[in-house]
Amino acid sequence: MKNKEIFSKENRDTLWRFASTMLADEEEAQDVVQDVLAKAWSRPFPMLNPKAYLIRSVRNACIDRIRNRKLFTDELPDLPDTSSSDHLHDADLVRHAMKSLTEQQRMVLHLKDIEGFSTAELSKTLNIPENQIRVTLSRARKAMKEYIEKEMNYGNQ
Amino acid sequence: MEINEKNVRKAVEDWYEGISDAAQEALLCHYFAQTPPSEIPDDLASTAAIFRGNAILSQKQMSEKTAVPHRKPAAWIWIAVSAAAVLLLLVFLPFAMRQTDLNPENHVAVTTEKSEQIIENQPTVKKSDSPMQSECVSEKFTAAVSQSKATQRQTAHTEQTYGYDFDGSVITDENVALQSVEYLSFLELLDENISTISAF
Repeated sequence: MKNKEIFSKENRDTLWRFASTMLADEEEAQDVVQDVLAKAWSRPFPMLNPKAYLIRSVRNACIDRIRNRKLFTDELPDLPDTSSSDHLHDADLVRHAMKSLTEQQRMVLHLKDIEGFSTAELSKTLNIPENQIRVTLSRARKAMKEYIEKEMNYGNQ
Repeated sequence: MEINEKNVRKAVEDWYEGISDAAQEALLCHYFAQTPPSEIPDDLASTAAIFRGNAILSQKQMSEKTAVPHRKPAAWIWIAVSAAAVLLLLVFLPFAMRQTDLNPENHVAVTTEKSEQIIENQPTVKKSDSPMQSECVSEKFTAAVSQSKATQRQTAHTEQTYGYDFDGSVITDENVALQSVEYLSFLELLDENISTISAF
């Protein structure tokens, strides 16, 4: 990826979705992405792997913000309920389920299932062994299923 | 391999274990997207919700209002830099031009003028009619050379160049200049002596 391509809309959206999942806050995710892209723009040296650099930068920025939040509260902010149809309801279910996961599970699950990263790409980007990626992914998916089944059963009651 | 009701559960199990490949995951996505929720078995309802929800979230886009603008330097910066460059040029260029000693044309003209003065200042030796005067001529020749040397030394202290050599080049070596002038004086005296000797 050429350095100029990292500022394309497609990449900005990818980073924003990732930050939104990590922070469970779309407005704050925009701030994070703005900051990360601004720093990347002013870098004097070209990036060897811009995509991985940006993902890691967004991850680190999100983790910093989450830690700052935890000084005041242990919970992620409530997500706005945008469900107006079954499909959007599914999206809300997934977003709420993500909140119940750990930071690492949320990160791996989002990049794998929503952004379409391969296991090898994830391992290289996040500097995590592939086996650990698979284990984290498996636990995250099962935890999400469990959360959604509870929500569905609660809704069916 | 296409996903259908018979093999969907095996594919889902592999997916939850994290061992399914990209092709299987794509087939699962397609299966749950195409199959109406009413036709999905109850045990797969939550999985279907996950796949549908992921598909919707992957299409979400950031608001364009907060897009990072391409930074371009403000126009006033360019104007200020250009004006500063022009100002510096106007301030320092006259100082550079005032240094006439560095002007090669002036330098050559001054040295030419001075070398002409040096040649003019050489003592002239009169032609002698008798052979006995050859000794006097030689003495006078010696005196003329000495005087020319003295004159050259005086001028050499003030000038860096010493006029032109026989090939037209500028003489910068004092010894070369002295030799040139001495040789010129010698030639003049030689001409004088030859005419005197030939007269005998």
